[in-house]
Amino acid sequence: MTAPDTRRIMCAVLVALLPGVLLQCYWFGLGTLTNLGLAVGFGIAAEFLLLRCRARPVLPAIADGTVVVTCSLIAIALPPGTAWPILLIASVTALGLGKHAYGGTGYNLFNPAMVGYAVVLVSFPAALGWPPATGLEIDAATGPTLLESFKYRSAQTVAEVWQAEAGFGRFGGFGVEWVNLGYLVGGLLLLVWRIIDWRVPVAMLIGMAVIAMLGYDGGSSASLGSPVMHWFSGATMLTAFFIATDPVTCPSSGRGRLLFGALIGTVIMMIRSWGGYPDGVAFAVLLGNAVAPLIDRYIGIVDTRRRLPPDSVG
Amino acid sequence: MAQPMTSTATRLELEPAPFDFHGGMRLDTGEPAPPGSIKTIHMPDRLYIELQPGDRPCVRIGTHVLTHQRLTDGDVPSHAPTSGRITDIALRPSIAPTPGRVPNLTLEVDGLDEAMVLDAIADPAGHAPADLIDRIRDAGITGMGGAGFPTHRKLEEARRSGVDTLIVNAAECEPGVRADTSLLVADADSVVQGASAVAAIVGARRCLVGIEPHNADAIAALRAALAARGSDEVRWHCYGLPERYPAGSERSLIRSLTGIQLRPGERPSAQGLICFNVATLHALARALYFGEPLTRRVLSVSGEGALDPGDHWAFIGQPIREFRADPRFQTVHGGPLAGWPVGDEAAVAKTTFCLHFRQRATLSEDPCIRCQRCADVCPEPLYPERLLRHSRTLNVDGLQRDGLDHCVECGACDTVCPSRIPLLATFREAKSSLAAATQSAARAVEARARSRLHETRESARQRATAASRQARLRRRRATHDGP
Repeated sequence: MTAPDTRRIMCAVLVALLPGVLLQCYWFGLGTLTNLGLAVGFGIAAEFLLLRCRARPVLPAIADGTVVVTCSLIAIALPPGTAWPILLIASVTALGLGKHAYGGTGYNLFNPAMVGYAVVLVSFPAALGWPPATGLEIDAATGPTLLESFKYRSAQTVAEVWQAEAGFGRFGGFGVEWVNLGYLVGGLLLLVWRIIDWRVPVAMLIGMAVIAMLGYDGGSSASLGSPVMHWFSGATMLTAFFIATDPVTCPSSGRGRLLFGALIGTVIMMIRSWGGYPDGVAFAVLLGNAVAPLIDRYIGIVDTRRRLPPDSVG
Repeated sequence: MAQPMTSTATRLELEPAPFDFHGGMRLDTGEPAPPGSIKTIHMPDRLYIELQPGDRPCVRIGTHVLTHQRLTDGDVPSHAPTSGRITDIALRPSIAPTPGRVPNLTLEVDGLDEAMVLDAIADPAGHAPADLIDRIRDAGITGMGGAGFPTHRKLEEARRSGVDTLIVNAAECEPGVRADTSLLVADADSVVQGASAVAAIVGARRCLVGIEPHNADAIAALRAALAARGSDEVRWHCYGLPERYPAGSERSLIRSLTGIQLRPGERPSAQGLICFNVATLHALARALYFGEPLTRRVLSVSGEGALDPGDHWAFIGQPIREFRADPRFQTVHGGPLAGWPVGDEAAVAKTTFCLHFRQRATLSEDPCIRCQRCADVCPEPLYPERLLRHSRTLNVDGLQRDGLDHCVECGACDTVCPSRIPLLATFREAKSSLAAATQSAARAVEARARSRLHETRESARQRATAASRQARLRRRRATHDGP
């Protein structure tokens, strides 16, 4: 049994992103690809400069692929065809503030991609509405998103929201449900390849479903929307399988990871339902990252003790 | 797979071990090599016998010694593997994981192999256990599976605390090591005799053998030996261990066979168990029944840089570079996973079960990404990633909290680490610096206590002097002032 090295793990993550990225291109145009190219380019340049400033070896750190993954996640999370200055700011803050300020790969407290994304999200909210203003030609995709409609629907019931926007799909937003399906497929690949731990995505999706069930009363005007709708809306699957599972910023013990996933799922639902943003995965993940050391500290100790079973004579 | 076999003396069946241990991993070792006959290596010109702390040489420079002659006094004596002359006592690199230099006796071999008359016994039943333990100590027997704990101390401890189960470790410690299997195939009778002697000494009523189910020829040899032995009160059970590394580590073995998870630092005897590997039992039987002290052992030689891969009878004190094809290769003492690199000058010790020669690592390590692959395979089970952080900062509380002392040093974490971090080496270093810190703290406490004692004594003496002077004065005054 030979261990995969970090580079192979990162390559696997990139491959697993492909189905979702391709579907995103199909529904929302090729802007995702320009996002990807620009963000990864800026990211590698920023990483190069930052490593030089910190007098660290440059080549191995860039070759391990972590920068590419971080910047790809930013590029995918931002609306297709985002203006290049925003991509630049996101990539540089992700690597500088999110990673190197903490000491580089493996030492960061917060998920770098979400740091970069959150910074541009709160700085340029108008420019970052989904779907993108420059979205290509699919009429349905240019209306408000499902989550936006839901948030600002005043007193409509679920069924009325659905009818008001002819473009919504079977479960979630038009197109977005397909993209989510793509990331779900990629995430399952990562599970099969044993790249990620099942606990974080499963706990997160269950956490979301529980809150949604609590608030789902059959579709009245106060309803939160069904669990399935939330699973296949916004950035749910991308977050569950590709962002929250970053091992550096999640707890180390199994039960800690369950708690961490459930916490993120709950916070996402709270932001979607009662917060100021239509979707809130970045804030939920950052909040989860912030408490991960605390979870490690308390759950981890209990877990270490529990893993050493008491004497049992056979 | 295995048919239960009934013999006149004992019933030996190879059923799977009743319990399992945490973590571990399957290792792809390819087709297991057929156990060849054990090769005999040529006698070197010089042997280097390492002295243990507390050993006093009982020979001088220039002394001519015979084969099996005792060379040192101490807890565990050393003996001459062959006849020759002691030419030097000098510091040489140690074979221990922490690099350092230790005193060695240099024995210049004369090639005559003049032997001493040995004192053997025919049947241990006629001897008191204390006498047998003395014989085992005089033969210089230590654990040969790695830790090298003195066997006579283990037996005495077991007799004190009461032991009912003997566990025989017939599993190889590491993939690619076949020394114990080859020894079983070659001489299972001695191993079984040794086990019987141990059972008689400590009063064990049952004997559990843990063996890897794929070692068919070793199992067959063991069965034949068990069928041939005389009847006694001991019940034997043979179990096939889970085929995961490190099934052969003592704590995993005990867990698989009995379900008992030892606490950190807890000896098996505290749970009524005593555990020996087959090499130790073989040496013990040779010591009792032939009077032979421990001067040679079977070791596996493996890796790309091995001169002659396979199992060898090597002399204690044989320079390890004689097993290496090319000095460009790195020498690892112990198996490829849990072993540690040693210098060119080191010599075979009683604990050397394997010498592995591999290419030096060329890739540097990457940062830890906390992927927890190490935690998945840890047999103890710990979180090596946390221990790594604490080790690098020498965070004593953290190391204690996350259980560094539970680490059995199997090296499974190293094997799965995607960042090629030398976890095991870091933990060994942390352990030794912790031990050094504890030791110096203990010395400081001792020194303080000594100085306090000295002060108390001193002040008591001064008080006594003052009191006696006062008394003298009073007496003198009384005589002067008297009527």
